[in-house]
Amino acid sequence: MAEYTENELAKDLENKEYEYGFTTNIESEKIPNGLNEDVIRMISAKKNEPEWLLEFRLKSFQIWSEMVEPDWAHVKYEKPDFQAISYYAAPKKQKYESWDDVDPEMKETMNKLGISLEEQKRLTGVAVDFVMDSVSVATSFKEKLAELGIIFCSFSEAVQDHPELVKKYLGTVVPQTDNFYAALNSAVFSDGSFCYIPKGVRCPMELSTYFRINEAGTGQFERTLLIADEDSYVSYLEGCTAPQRDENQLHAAVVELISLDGAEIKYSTVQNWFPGDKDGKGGVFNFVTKRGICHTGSTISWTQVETGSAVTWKYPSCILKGDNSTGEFYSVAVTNNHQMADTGTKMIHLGKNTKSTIISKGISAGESENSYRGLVKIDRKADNARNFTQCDSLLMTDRSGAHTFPYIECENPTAQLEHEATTSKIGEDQIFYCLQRGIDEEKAIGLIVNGYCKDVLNKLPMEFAVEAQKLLTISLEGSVG
Amino acid sequence: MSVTEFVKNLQANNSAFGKKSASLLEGKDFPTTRDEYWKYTRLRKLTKNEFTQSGKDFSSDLSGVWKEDYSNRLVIVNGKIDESASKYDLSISKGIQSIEGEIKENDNINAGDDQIFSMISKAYAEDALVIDFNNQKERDLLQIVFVNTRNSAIANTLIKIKASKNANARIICNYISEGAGVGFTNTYFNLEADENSNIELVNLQAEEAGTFHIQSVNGTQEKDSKISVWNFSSGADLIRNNVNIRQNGKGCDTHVNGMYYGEEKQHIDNHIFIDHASEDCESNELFKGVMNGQSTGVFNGRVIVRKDSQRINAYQQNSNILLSEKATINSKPELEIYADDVKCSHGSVTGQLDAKALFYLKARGISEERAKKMLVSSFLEEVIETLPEDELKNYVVSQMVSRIQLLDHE
Amino acid sequence: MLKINNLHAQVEGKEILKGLNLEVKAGEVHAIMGPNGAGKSTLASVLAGNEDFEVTDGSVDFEGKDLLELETDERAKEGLFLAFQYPVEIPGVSNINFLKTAINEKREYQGKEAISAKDFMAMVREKSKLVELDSKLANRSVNVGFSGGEKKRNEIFQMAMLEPKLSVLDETDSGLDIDALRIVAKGVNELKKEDTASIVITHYQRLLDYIVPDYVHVLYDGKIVKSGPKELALELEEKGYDWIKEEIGQ
Repeated sequence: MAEYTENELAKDLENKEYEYGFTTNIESEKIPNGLNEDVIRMISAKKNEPEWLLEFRLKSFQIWSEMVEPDWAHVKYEKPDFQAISYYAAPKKQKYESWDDVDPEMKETMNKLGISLEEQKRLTGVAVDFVMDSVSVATSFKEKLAELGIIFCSFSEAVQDHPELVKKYLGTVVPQTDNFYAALNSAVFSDGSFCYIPKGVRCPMELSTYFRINEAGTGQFERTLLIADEDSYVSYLEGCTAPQRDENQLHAAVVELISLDGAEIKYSTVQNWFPGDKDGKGGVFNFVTKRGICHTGSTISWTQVETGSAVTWKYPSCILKGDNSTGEFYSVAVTNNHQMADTGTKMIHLGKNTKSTIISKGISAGESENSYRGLVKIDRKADNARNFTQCDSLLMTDRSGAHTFPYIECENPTAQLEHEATTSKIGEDQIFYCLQRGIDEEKAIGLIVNGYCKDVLNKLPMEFAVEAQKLLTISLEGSVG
Repeated sequence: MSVTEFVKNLQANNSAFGKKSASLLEGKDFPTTRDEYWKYTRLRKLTKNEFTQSGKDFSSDLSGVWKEDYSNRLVIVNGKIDESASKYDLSISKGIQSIEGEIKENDNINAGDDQIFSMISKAYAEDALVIDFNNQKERDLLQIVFVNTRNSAIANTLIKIKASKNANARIICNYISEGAGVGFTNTYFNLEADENSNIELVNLQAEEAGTFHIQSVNGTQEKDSKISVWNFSSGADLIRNNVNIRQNGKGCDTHVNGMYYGEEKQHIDNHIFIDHASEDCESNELFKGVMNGQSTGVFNGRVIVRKDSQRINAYQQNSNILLSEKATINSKPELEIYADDVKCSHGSVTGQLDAKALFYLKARGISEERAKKMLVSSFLEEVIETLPEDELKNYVVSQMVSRIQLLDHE
Repeated sequence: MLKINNLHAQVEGKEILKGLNLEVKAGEVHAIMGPNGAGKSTLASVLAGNEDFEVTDGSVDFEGKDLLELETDERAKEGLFLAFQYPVEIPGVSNINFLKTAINEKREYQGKEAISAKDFMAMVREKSKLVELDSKLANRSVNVGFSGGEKKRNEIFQMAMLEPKLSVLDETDSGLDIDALRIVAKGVNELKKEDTASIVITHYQRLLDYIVPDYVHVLYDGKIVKSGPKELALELEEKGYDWIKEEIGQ
């Protein structure tokens, strides 16, 4: 084959601007950089929070102050200076009476993201809780959901309107002491989403939140709390894109899911934070703690497509506490250029007849490092537990790394655990076959990679799957060589 | 727990590496479960004991241990060679001084993992062996019996095995114990496989309860060489095997296989590290375990394919059966890949005996105990089958059957 | 349509094709036969542009273009189709999606609009009948879990869908039972047109009972050593390849 496709094409594409990189200029209200008790009191006061929540934050801060940043993950990065971060930023204009009041520039941002509210309202039936720089500015479909008793609002609103629910569940799945970033988040979380599905209610639409980091130097500390009451069902979508920035941005979110008896939660994420440029400059640090607890007969299913961030540290997990509960984790993680990802899951089997499935597809391109790290733990009392794990790694270049670190801990003789992993290079014979059918190399790789990830992509809601497929192809452009 | 406290009764040897090792150990603590490579192994039950360097009188009858066709025989008692019980015509240098220059104070390939126990061995070893295999056609056969007489005996032994170009070596190591009380065997092996050579090391760990066994095998391979290590582990309260092999030349082949059986509160831990530092190489790991009683089995297989080590095939398999409600298995098969033209895979399966098969056998009039034995044996058979000769397979089963009650032996 | 002149090609430094000449005109079917190792599959791979094979000398003209200058996918878009001896499995990629991508790539290359979903599905239905391919297979991943016969029929199905000018069938008969062979041959015959041509590479004569060639060439040691009418195939079947060796004095 001639020189062009291999080398020049790769170069052409390396320089391609970050697809969704753009910045919205909205006046923001920021507090000075740094973290201490006064800052936490200020955040809490600005949000008019009850005393118990301030106590929660202050205790978290105390715990965090005594912790050290973990370094066991297979990632290397310059540790953030936590005193150089501003812990609160809110668009000055906080609430909009009607859609017309919304800042036109923000509307433009949403248009670029392809999530114009009108269109969404009209076409897809997706309710959107749009979070820009920590404070919710637009929520839709609230009334319709309210008819069913579904609460879907910003975390701050939930604190004001449903304090009893927040108080009952906050920190019950991810305790403040859990890890460094979870403790930090518990101290300074700005806003996020809250969702409650009442008993026996099947949420009729996909609930969706689009996150965006917007303010330079602003850490993003989202807090999500989702409670599915007995025998209810909800599918929740979370997607992120971020504007291009030169400096590193810290993102330390906490997501807690509570799936009560017989409930089912599907939680899908497409993560496309700014990954840094081709030299590894800039990009988001994504240190996320996501965990759900399953009560009797309930299900939590995590699906994630991770293509962004300079550094990812993320293990959406399930505590299978109730008998006959099910945990699922479906993941595609793509790393290119200098990205580093250490991601996977923890399936903690405590109840009897609990089942878990893990399917992880890692794709390493450029000079990136991509690790799967997963724990399957079968407790002494978890009779008849089942786990199936398949984790595959695909290497696109000889400069990238693909790693697998499974932890399998079994204390019960009735468990059946199966773990399989493979690592291989993208099939040259497959590419050739496509080429012979007239499909060019870029498209061939897109096809093959999407095929390789199909088992995971299939788990996404339809509209998300399309976006995810596009993202995969974009993320890997010019990556073979 | 400090190492200094643990070694307070021990006399360091006077080799250069021994002195350096002893000084490196000063102020060091034993690893804890917070250390990644000791995550599943608590050392307290070993380190709380006081051990002393002991004499080399022993009373065990070794006649049932010797494999007849192995004309080269060595007996090492509490870390010291018993010349009267040994006979051989291989090129063997003995004594601490013989190994000076052959090993360093920290030559572990997987640094940080088993360093402390290797260093204890190097600092406090009372004897050492350097065995040169330089045959060009026939395979040299060597059997080494390690006896620990307990009564607080610590046995630190250093063994260097060199296979020169085209040489073939097969070594069987039997670990046995006698006496009463606690005993600790801490053996350090350094394998050096020159071009196109072949080293086979078969470890039969069958000490009694009350003993502790830590073994570090560090091997380096040159072009077209082959190293195979087998760990058959049962007995002892705690067994930790570290096998670290680095492939330095093209066309290397490495096999590390093992089976382990635990009862009561036994703890058996295999840590295998294969470092693919050259191109066109292969590695294979097969470990199978059966855990009974309150025992714990640990498998940590780590494969690294270095940058530019293209065309590597690496395969790891760990399968476990839990027979009892209080048994535990921890399996951690890791892959770290920095080259793209590779085929690497691993599998880990944990379960119980096939209930249908058990029922079928019982329905044919076979007792439950007998049926279990048949199923366990057939499960472990795959590991035994990786041994090179039928005669050796039979021998290994005959030696392990006293420890692994559930192993079938006609 | 195709003119191969003094083609030399090597793989891993070993010369396989040693000055091969061949001319194929529109409307013709050429059979290339020869013993194992003669270079038959190498010829197919070189024509398709497999980079494992290095062309060291000679030229290939395809419809007035220098074929060797074109990328693999450009050759395909220009109308060259290779039915692989060992079709590759592509997990997760449905046959339908795969073909639609291929067809639209070609149409884009030709400056045509993308095919409509309706026309495409109609075409799938029509063409899959041709090779008696179960429509369920169209929704499965490319060649994954297909039997040997299904894979070969899928190749012919793709050929029918892509409507190439020149088809190269590389040992399409290998591993086929007589029914599958008949179906494959039927597909090939029905696709034969005045402005298309085929090169059928085979070791055995039996495929030529179904696909009747206009010319038979014997490839031996990297060269075409004998050409003749379809009867030559029968002669080869009867006398074996040793006869050729004797005839060319080796």
